[in-house]
Amino acid sequence: MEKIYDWVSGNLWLLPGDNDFERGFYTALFLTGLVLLLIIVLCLIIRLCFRKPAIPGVTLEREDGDIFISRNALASAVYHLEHDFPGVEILKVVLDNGRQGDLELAVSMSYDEKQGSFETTAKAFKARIFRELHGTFGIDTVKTVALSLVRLPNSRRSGGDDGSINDAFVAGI
Amino acid sequence: MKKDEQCLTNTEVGASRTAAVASETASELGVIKIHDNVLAALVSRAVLHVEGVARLAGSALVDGLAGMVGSHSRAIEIIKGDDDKLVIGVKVVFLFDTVIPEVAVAIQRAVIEQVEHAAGITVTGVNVIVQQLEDPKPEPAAGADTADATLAAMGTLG
Repeated sequence: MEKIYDWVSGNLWLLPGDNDFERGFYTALFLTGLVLLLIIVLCLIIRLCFRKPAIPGVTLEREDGDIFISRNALASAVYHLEHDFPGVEILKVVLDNGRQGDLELAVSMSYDEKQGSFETTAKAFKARIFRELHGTFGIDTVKTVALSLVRLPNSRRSGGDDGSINDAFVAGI
Repeated sequence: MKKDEQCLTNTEVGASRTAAVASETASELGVIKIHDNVLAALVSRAVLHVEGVARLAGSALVDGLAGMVGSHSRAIEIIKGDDDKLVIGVKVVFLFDTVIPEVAVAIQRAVIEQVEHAAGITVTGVNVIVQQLEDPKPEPAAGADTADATLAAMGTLG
């Protein structure tokens, strides 16, 4: 501990404290911060190393060459469906590997329940996404579309008028 | 972006290389060299004439700068195989409400036909990368033209 204290006091000319106790206290505080910072950096590195690689898109093989449909194009098509489903606001679209080697499209959304039952809308929305994937893109490798209702619209702006509506409202279908 | 480029280079052309001169033909009269830029222009023209295509992917500013230094659009990649045959990669932005595989196949045929017809180079494959979808640009309304014509006439009269 003394060695660490000597090193810290030797390297940090601005270490506050009038007596040994105070300087020791601030040294401990500094070291705790440093350790926490190291843990955070380590966590980030581990997360980066073990994260799932993002799927760049879907490739369709044709006679005269490949057709590669990027995930951005798929996401744009899903975002475009907002116009046909009032009350639906798409927040995020992610293309991911499914459990059985196929692909999965995960859509995070918010929904205004004044427009009707979410369940009915979700079913129609899913059917529409599949129709777009098959009809517009010619993709049949996406087997699952996962819709997640992650928040209700205006819940932030409502300022907590209704205690039952908050950002933590999560429903996966 | 890198993954897309990887997708292009992972095609069947194994030991391919990107060349500035796409084709070189020697005869008793001399040598005919066809530069990449010429092919890129042909490809660009063929792609933009296909219905359902909004534009080539990429930034107009970057492509403009590339043009100033003598390079072609980054949306078009020309890969030359060992046997002087080409594989062309093209990044495209499509319009919404188009059947993408049909339009993409139309692009492949148009590019192959255009390059083979105009440059006489065999194209073994055209890889189409659908980068993004966007709404068609709104056409100027007919009323606006009439209004402009009226204003112009007023200006002339005044």
